[in-house]
Amino acid sequence: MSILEVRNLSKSYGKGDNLVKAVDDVSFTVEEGDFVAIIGASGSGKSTLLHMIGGVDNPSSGEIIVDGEDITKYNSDKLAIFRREKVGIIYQFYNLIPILTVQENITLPCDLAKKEINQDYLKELIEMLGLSDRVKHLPNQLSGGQQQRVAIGRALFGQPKIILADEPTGNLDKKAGDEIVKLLEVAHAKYRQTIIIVTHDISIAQHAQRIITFEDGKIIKDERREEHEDSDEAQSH
Amino acid sequence: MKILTKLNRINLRQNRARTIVTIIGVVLSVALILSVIGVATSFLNSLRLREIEEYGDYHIVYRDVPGNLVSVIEESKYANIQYYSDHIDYIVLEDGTKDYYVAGLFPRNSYTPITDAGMLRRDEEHLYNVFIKYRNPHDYSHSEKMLTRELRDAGMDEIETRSTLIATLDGCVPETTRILLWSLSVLAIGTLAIASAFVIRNSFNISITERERQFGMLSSIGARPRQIRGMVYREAFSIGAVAIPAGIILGVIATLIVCVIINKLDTYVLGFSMSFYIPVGGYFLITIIGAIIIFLSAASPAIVASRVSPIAALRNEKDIKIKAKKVRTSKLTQKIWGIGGVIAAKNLKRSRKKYHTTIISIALSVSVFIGVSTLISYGYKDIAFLIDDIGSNFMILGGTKELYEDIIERFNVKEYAYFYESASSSADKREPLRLVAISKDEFVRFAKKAGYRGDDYANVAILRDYYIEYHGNGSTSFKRTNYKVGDTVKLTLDDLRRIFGPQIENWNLDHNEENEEKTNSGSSKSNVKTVELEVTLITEEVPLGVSKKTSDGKGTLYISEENKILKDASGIYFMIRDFHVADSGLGEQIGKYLDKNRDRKQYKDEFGNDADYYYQNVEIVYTSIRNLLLTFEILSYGFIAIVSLIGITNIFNTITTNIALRAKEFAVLKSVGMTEKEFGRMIRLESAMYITRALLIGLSIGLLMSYGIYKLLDAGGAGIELIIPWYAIVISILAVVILVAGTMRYSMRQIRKQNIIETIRKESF
Ligand SMILES: Nc1ncnc2c1ncn2[C@@H]1O[C@H](COP(=O)(O)OP(=O)(O)OP(=O)(O)O)[C@@H](O)[C@H]1O
Ligand SMILES: [Mg+2]
Repeated sequence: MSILEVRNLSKSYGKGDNLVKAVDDVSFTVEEGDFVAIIGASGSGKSTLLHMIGGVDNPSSGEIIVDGEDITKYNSDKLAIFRREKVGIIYQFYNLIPILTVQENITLPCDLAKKEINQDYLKELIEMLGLSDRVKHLPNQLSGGQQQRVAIGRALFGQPKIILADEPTGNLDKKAGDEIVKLLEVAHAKYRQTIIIVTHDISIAQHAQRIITFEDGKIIKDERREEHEDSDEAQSH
Repeated sequence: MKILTKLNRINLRQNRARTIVTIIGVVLSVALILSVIGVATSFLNSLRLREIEEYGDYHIVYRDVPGNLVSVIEESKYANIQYYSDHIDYIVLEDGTKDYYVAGLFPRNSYTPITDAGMLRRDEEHLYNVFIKYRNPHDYSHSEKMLTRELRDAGMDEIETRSTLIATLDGCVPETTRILLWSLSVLAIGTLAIASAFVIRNSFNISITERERQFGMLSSIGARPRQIRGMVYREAFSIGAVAIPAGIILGVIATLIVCVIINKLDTYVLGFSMSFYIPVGGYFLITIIGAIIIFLSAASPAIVASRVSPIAALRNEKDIKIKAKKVRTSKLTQKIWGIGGVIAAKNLKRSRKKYHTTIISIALSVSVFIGVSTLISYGYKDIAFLIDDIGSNFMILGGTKELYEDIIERFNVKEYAYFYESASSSADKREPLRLVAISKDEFVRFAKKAGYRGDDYANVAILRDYYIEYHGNGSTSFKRTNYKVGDTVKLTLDDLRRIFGPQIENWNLDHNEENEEKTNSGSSKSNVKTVELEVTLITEEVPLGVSKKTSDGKGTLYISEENKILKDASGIYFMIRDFHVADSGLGEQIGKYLDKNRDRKQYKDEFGNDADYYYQNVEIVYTSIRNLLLTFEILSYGFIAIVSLIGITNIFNTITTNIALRAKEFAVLKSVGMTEKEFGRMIRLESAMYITRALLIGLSIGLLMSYGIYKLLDAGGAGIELIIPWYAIVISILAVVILVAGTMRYSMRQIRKQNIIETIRKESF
């Protein structure tokens, strides 16, 4: 069953001569438990697409069907609940709340949903993130990579069905980047979460089962990478 | 340098709302300070003009100075002679015996008493009144001493002087009074100055926090601290350049309006009209002080700005300085309020400094509001006491019954009362008591009002329930009567002739021949009469013409003029006291009629009116006092309103900016699933937290202030009641809640409109 279906999605900025079609009539489907990488040149519309799927940006036209419901039809309240329960977004620039500690930032979506906090899982996750000795720290006391890991923790902790990661390793060195990808893989393997990751880094994309390539707001290539190097070719519009 | 100026201009334009609000704050402060000074000086100046018009332009008059000594004063270095006059009231011109030289004329208006006749040529024999002005009014006591000494040395023994009000206005006042006046005005203006300094400082503080990253960036690429400070000062300069002139114009207009309003409402009580007067020197001073305040207010933000480290720009976090300990909140907060409460509480802790400004602004406005309201209530009570509504619109004190009846008939007076007073005391000494008789129609009205349901008015005695007892030390107390309904009161009435002498018979009322004879034939020594009365009713009501709020030191027993006691005893034991007309609009006619007739012999003959009477058109006086009260209220509430407005500009600036600065944080919260409702709740919680704090501080200071005012006023042991300004408290709580909620709503709407991701993508956090 497909967890995400994007139909004729478009997003444009500006008018007339200044019109920029950041995402241009894109359609695709993602199966539950899939690990998808989106690659493409800078300015090709990857972040815009991801933000629309995450419910933080609104499309100009088209539908985004998550779990059978079209989120573009949601009002702001329903959309907020969708964001807290169905998706976890990891931004390129962390976007943590500066006055909350590491732990508070991680549990934030659960607190908002007033869900009981699973202390065991929290501990396990923090350990996995390598932040055990940093739980009471504030974001500004952490390094860039550590902050990124907190952002990942926040996205993972609610165990949402979909994790959207926008260049989670963009600011990090190779080693730190690899650790983060490993985290995502664990989440994927252990909790069967669907992961969509945007990246420039082809070596990171290699970890995915499927790679979608963007250019000028359109999908130009969509290939499934089987463990045995098989590949599915899908057409684009 | 050019690029920095451009940045400045862009910044001011981008934060148009805040720039405008700041300018409004400064304009209001300047205008308010100027109009306080303007109105005060206009008032004093009008007082001075009236004084000069009425009495002349001098500080002090030396009386009965011999002609040969006038030159002593003339030559003294301490005073200038304004003019001098013969001390007699009239100049008698005798043909041929003297020749007069007319040295000049000085105008006289209707008020001028016919005393100082004019200027005379000086000669040796006459005594003169010499009107002088001190050369140095502030040194008046020394000047006076020296002048007196000079005169004494020249041979004048008895020196009599009298100084005038303008002496006071010109600064010839005792040191203590001057200090008191000065400190009061300095306090009022100081409060305003501090409030405005707050607005400006706050505005710059906000302006620089908003641009912290920009300053960091500039300094990271090599802008010198001086250049950055310059940016802030330039901003201050542009604000001052717009706001100060506008404030001056507004202040002048406000002063003019106040003068016009006062003139419209009242000239009777003040006794003169307010003439608009602008103290140019004072204005100039205020302008300079204002500029200095603006500069100083900008100084510390400017320094802070110039010290912003490049790291603030380089790191993607603005809040480098946050310490985990500082923003720790308790588990309880989380339990009670949820994560929204935690964030709200933490945020308050984080931006403690910013919130301090909001809290102080609110607290300042609230406490000033409560303090001034208390002052107004006391002032109101004071003036309202003057009004003491006795229901009378026109009254005559003294006179005769014939005169009253003439007026009643001639002017067709519908509702009136007159009173007969006796010199009575209670024989049983239970409490001081006096017997007063009331004209019969009013007595019927009064008895009905008091609850009497019978119709035997001639035999009813109504006791007023309370009286005010005066104690030796000047304090008073409120007493209820000891008597009960049905008690028999024994009263002794004194023969008024014993008190006022035999002429009472001439100016008294009812000439009851029979009665008079009776008393005369009796032993003329023991002219005390004893009467017994049964108390029919005890009431808190009062008849027309009697004050509800005051009484002399005795209880009053009222009877009708139809009562037998009066019939038996009037003329010797009762005298007519006063006459009150309740009908409105008759005062002027009656007054004119009385003026026309009081000197006419025929009228005197007709009414046997040798006794003098005095009338008062109470209606005019009351209207005037009411207007004075209104003026007083308008002025004080106007003052409060503007002080509050200044506070509001401050609060508005702080809150809107605070929210705008956190737009990104809010967007992140929303992106992880905070709903609008939760978001609103969080903001409301945050507001509630600091409103509570601000109100607690403001209300306590305000109440302390009103207690202080009470203590100050009560210092003389005048028995002033403590006023707790409940209204002011309720109003300020409501106003603060509404204001903060409104501002929050306004700034939240700005944020809500923004797209989450676009807000997040904005660089500054
Ligand atoms: N608010 C905006 N107004 C106008 N154009 C915009 C806006 N936001 C994005 N764009 C444009 O939309 C296009 C897609 O932007 P997007 O951020 O999705 O690119 P991206 O693929 O994520 O690039 P990168 O790899 O550099 O992050 C770009 O050409 C960008 O200039
Ligand atoms: Mg991007």
